Amino acid sequence: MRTTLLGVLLLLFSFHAISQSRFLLSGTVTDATSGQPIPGVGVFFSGLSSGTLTDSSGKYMVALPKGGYIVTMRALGYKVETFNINLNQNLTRSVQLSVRVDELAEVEIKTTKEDRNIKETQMGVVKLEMKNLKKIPVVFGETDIIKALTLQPGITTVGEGAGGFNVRGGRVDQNLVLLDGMPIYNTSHLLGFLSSINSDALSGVSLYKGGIPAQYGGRLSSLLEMNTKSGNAERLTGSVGVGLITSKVVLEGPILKNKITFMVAGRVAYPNFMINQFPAPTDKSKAFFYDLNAKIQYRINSKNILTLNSYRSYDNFKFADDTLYYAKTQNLSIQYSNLINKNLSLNFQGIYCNYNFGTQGYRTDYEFTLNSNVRHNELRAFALYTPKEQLKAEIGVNAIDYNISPGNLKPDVSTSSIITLDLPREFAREVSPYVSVDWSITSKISLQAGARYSIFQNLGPKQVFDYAEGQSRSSQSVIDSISYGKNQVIKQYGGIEPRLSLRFAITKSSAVKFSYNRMRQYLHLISNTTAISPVDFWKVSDKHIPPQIADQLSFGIFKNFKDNTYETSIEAYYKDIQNLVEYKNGARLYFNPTIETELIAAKGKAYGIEGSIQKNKGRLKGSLSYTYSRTLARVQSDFPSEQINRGEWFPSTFDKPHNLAISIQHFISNGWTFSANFVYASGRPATYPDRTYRLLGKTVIDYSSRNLDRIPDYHRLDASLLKDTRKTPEQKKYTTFSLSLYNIYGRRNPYSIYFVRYNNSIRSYRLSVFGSVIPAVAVTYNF
Amino acid sequence: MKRNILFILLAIFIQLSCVEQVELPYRNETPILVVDGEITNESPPYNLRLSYSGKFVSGSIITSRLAVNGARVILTDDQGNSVRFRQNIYEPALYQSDNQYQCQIGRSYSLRIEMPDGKVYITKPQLMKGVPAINNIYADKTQDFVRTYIDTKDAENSSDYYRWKSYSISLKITKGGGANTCSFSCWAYNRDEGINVFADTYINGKDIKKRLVHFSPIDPDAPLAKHYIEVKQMSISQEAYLFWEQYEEQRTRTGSIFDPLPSTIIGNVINEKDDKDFALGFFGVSGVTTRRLIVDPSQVSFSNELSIGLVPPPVVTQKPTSDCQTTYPGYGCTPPAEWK
Repeated sequence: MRTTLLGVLLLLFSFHAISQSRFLLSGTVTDATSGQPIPGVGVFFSGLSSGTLTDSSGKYMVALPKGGYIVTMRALGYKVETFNINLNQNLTRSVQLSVRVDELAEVEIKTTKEDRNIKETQMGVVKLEMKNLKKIPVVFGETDIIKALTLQPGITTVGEGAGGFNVRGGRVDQNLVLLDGMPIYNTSHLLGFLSSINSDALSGVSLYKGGIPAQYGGRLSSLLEMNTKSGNAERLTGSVGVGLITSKVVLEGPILKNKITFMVAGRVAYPNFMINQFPAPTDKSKAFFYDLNAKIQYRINSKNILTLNSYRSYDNFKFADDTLYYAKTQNLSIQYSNLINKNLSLNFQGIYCNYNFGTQGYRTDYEFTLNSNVRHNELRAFALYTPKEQLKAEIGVNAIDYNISPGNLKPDVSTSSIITLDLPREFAREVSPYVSVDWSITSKISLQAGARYSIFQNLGPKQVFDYAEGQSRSSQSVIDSISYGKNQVIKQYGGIEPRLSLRFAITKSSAVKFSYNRMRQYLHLISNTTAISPVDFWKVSDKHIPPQIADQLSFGIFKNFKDNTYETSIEAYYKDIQNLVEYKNGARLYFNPTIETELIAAKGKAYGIEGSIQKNKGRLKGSLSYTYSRTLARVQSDFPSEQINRGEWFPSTFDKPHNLAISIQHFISNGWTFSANFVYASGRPATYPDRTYRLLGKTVIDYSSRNLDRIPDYHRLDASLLKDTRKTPEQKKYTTFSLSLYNIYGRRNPYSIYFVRYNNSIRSYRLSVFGSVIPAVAVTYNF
Repeated sequence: MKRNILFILLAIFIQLSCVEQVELPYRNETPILVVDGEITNESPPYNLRLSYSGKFVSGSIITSRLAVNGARVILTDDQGNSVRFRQNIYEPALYQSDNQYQCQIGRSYSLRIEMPDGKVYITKPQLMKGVPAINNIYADKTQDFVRTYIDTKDAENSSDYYRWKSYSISLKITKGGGANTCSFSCWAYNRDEGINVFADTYINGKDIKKRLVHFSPIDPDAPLAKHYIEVKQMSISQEAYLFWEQYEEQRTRTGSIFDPLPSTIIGNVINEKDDKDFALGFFGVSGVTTRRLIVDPSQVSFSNELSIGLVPPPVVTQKPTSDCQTTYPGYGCTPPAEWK
């Protein structure tokens, strides 16, 4: 492995030696007030038709013929900056852009970022504008990344209060969620009601639904990349926010001017006053959570940056004196970037991630703690090589070490009847080298091509069972058990994962794009409930559970109108999935030492078409999107206990064919903004009873076919009013107030339909999570 | 353990949220065989009910239309002895063994059902396991119920599965009905609604302490009348445990986001020739020990503790105005004379 990496690096160096006929202009574009780098700034040169964009760390670099140029820098939300250069040697120009607060003034700016959808090779990408996030009306007034994402085409959840999100018919565990590169295993607070990342700490959020770059792998459906603010280099700034359920604070500034910056963000919840309103015994329940982000960035010199990131999150939910559920995440990362020369940078990141979750029981004589744990240690190394402005190449490797405890039960006091039980730990490693090339072949054709080769090894020590051939796996069909020693390879999987995105520009304002990617997933969340539940656990692929593999093809047409005022797009995709983890009917998942006897490999397919129109300029902005999509699974088996719906295709739990989302933001005047959302979605599939039988003198309901029925449709209207007290863009101390109404017409949207026996008849009930309109207020003070 | 969390959690969500009764169209699947019965080491006869599954709207009584007529049912042990279950002429779905053949701990039993259409359904041989004695039986009371608990000791070095069955006899008072005194107050049976099963997975070899096994409703008009309680502790197989656990889980569904996906509960009776063709229901083989208890509500302590492991039956708030003996499953006008 190491020699291959070295070989390719050498190759890249020799590449570099050839391309020295022009002069280089490079630099960093930062925000004048916060000092943070601004990604995606358009950099233009007089007399040249093409420009360049700054990368995610605000850096840009172009090679131009010798001469004098007028350089123009444009970015959405910033004032345009212009300056002259005389390029007769390699130059560095770092620029500060000042924020434009006046929404109306934005109308006149012509920024390149507006036609990002046309110019970028990537498709299926959702980028959230952090400053617009606060304007989206949300439940309880809590700004929430995941809730905002579900307004975008192709991103759904199974229902209100359900944790996680589903991308293009994928499951919750098929999303790779990265915060500054650190994996987030639990994206929820309060068992799913809120997402676990404090949005005030973030500088950018991108979600890739398809065309996932070769840099990333390990999950089938999507990549959610979140980056925290890197800290104001000039002065101490921050904000304090108070809401109905949580309070938040963000503080950032220099520790050593222009050398070391910091950012800390914290959020604390107090949901108990709400719970205490309920009648006994529920009022005894208690919940609490906090999360903490911290970042320290040390600019050793202009070429070396060291960054330390940390994320902590803690949740508990205590049920009426009896049981406490908890979840705890501790993430730490250290990152080192080294700009070797103007064309080549090296980056290293070490990641430590420890996710603990479990249950504590307080019942007399049965006191216990049941803990599960995922330890994920990762090393990333990559070299970024930019020989010329049209070509960018990256080569790198990720190595992950997994150490998972599926369950450890122990008595909390000596008089407890509970015994100590420890399911054996699971060990595995995943090593994935990759290469990726971004190449603008002509001004009309560009491509992003790459490949990732992932190797996964399930390791000992472990005792592994062998099962008899020709019958359903069960604890009775065990024929042998093999003991593997420490670090001994139990099973290896792997293969190449090609990634390709292509763009053809038709005109200046329209393009067609195509993408293909293959993904492999070696880590699975074992959950047999509609929404992920607090007791669900993670499991690595092993001898009996092969990795899930998905191939996705997508195609899109992008067209902008009226000088990029309107952005339109249509994207279609098809996904084919192998080895989807499905569960036998009535599967027993918890504390099962032979868990493989309850799991079956299913085939999956998902397809859909996503259409969207966005208006990006003017007093009234907004978007409208409609998606038609299906997601299906099939289990074919010779054994009755493994059969689901007679081996036919059946809809997955989050198969919601029709989705419509309309979102508007209207800037009124004097800092007032009115926003509204309307969403409509088909009801998700559900399993209704289809016959009854009599047992013990009572009627029993039988559910013989999975997911063949559908709960009623979902629709909802929300609105909010936001007031920003800033009079001028330069004003540093200001306050924002927001008033929001969620579910304005109080629709009792069905979360689920369920059936119970009442005397001698069967009754069906509809459960709605929010049965009425939910008002909320929130205040944030910025300084 | 898991269900308790989810149950209480749901209670919170329901307060925030709302639940309404709705009418929905139903699909109807074709009827299939349903087997309901068990054998124990207690005195025969043993009962087995054979019926067909019905449409979604059918009630809880096995009508003659749903009963299986003319099936040939044979129980065989591991020594080759067998007994036939014969159809009861008054209750068509009921098949009973004779009064001579008694099942014993330590033997294995298999059932064979030859259907009138020629299909044959069988169970694999099942061992009748012994069961430890109930060491203690005691009670406390809440506003609405006398709650009965037991203590027992689990056997070491084996995976054991338990089921408890119980009933009580208590005094009921009604408002109206017939002419004699017994129409207004009578002694009646209270039977369990739910299935109470337990696996020793988490406590293997240790004491099972304070297992809640019965709720006997306290009639507000007779709060001091005695309760006569009987508890059977049964050994069940792992298969039976999984079956009843899933049965109970589906019976107590609450629409929570954490409810497991519902599905057919597959029992242990399958077609001899085609294992994709299985019968609904379960045929159980259990060892049984029994304990009885008389509770004088004035002598037991009042408790605010939550009921754990067993869901209390609904509390009837309105007094029926009909005859006591026809309203409740009647025991008689006087309490049991002897209860040991």
